[in-house]
Amino acid sequence: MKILLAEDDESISKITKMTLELIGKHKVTAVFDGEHACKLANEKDFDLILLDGMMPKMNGLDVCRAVKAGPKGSVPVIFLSAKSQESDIREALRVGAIGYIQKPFEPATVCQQIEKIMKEYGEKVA
Amino acid sequence: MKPIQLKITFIIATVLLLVFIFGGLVTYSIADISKYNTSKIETLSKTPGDLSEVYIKNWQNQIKYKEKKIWIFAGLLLMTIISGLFFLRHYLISRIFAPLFEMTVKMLDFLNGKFSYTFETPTQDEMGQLQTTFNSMAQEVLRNMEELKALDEAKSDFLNIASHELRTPMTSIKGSLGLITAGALGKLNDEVMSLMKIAESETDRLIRLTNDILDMAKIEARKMPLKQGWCNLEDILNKTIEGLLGFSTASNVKIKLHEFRPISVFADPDRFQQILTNLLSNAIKFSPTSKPVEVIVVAQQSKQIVIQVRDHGKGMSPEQKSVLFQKFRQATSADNPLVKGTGLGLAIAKALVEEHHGEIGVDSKPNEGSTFFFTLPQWKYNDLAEMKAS
Ligand SMILES: Nc1ncnc2c1ncn2[C@@H]1O[C@H](COP(=O)(O)OP(=O)(O)OP(=O)(O)O)[C@@H](O)[C@H]1O
Ligand SMILES: [Mg+2]
Repeated sequence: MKILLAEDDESISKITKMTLELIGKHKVTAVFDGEHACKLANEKDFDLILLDGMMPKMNGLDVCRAVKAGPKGSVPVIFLSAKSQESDIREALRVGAIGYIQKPFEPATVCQQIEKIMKEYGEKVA
Repeated sequence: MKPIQLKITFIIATVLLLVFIFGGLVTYSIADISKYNTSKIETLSKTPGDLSEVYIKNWQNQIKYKEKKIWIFAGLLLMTIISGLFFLRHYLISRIFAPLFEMTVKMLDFLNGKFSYTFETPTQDEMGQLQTTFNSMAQEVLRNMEELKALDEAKSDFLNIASHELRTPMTSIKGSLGLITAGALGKLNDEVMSLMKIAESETDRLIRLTNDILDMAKIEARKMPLKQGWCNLEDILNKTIEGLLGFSTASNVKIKLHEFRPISVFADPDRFQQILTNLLSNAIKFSPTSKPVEVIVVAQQSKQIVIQVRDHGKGMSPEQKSVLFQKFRQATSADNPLVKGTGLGLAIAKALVEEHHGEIGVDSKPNEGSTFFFTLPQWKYNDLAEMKAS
């Protein structure tokens, strides 16, 4: 899959990117703030967008809203969330995200988690 | 008393007083200056003859004249009294009863947290002093409240920032270690691998500890609002047991869920799961491998629901029981050396159960295992529509 990863913390971004590429064999484009994520999501074709909740400029929620309202509204969005943002996550699901992955996540299982969410979503859509 | 009614009383009183005083005075003076009686007296006295008859008539006239005057005077007095009463009523209502009533209303507002509803223009009398005092009291309370609110917000901010700042680096550490141990970067030799595993499991411990401490701080600061809703009990139990699968298989302890009639509970699902996880993880930790940990649901008809977590471990003495639910307290003794953990699990479970208006407790004797239980007041059978208890 072609994945857009929006995560402001450089270390986490790097580890997530490596995990997705090495274990999941996905192709990952990483951006470090919400505005960038929004721009890229609307310009390029992705199979999945991974959003961190708290980011500078635009938070994950705003990005999700903007993407869902834009031309690439059908691209699925999954949140990467720290535990303290539970309420935001619920809000995100309401805004159109298809799932969320709790941080800190297990690299060995994160790809499976993504697959599971995507599969459930695929069944729902079909 | 509405102001309009007050005004009417006042107008009536004034009109009455004016009418009575002027009307009375006019009548009185007409009676006084009408020379009818006096002129009669004069004519009679001019007639020569029976003087005594003249005198008597004169006298009778005098009496009639005086009677009339007395009646008028009495009428005047009565009317003045009536209008006086109206004035008194007006005074009592406008100066005493109405302000007292207003004071009561303000105090009720105050009681309901509307501290800014003060008296705009306190009057110049004793009632005004009372109002001014009330105003300064309200101001003081408001100031204190705002100070407290600012402090509370600072605390809230701190907790949120601390959560984020502590979790972010742990995510990176855990992620890096995970990537390496998963073999994504190539195979490791056994020594390196064993060290990596230690680093990984200690990181997990650190993460759990941080989460627990932050949760405890949030509960204590009342910053953990419950998101309650009706949830299927069986789903939550299964999900929790599933979540603990790693730990239970590693400890070689089975978890057995006893069957029960399907029930929904009114609870925050995440928090409910946290309570259960804390009880179950303890039970697993203290269980012998040969016997399973049991989860039993007891619905007390038209009362609360009781969820029990039973283990067949070494149990505990009454002294040990007494400190269990306190923070950072572990039931240590000579034959029960300090186990890994912070002693926060049960304190958190207790706080969360109490937030749900339930109770938590334990039945245990040394060497006979322990049964931890907690109750929830709001539940219903899934096949019955009505709720069993409020
Ligand atoms: N099922 C049990 N059997 C025997 N002792 C128990 C049981 N559950 C709890 N205890 C005792 O109560 C103490 C407090 O438990 P609690 O869950 O609060 O802390 P912990 O398990 O030590 O640490 P944490 O849960 O924070 O990792 C435990 O250390 C243990 O001594
Ligand atoms: Mg514990």
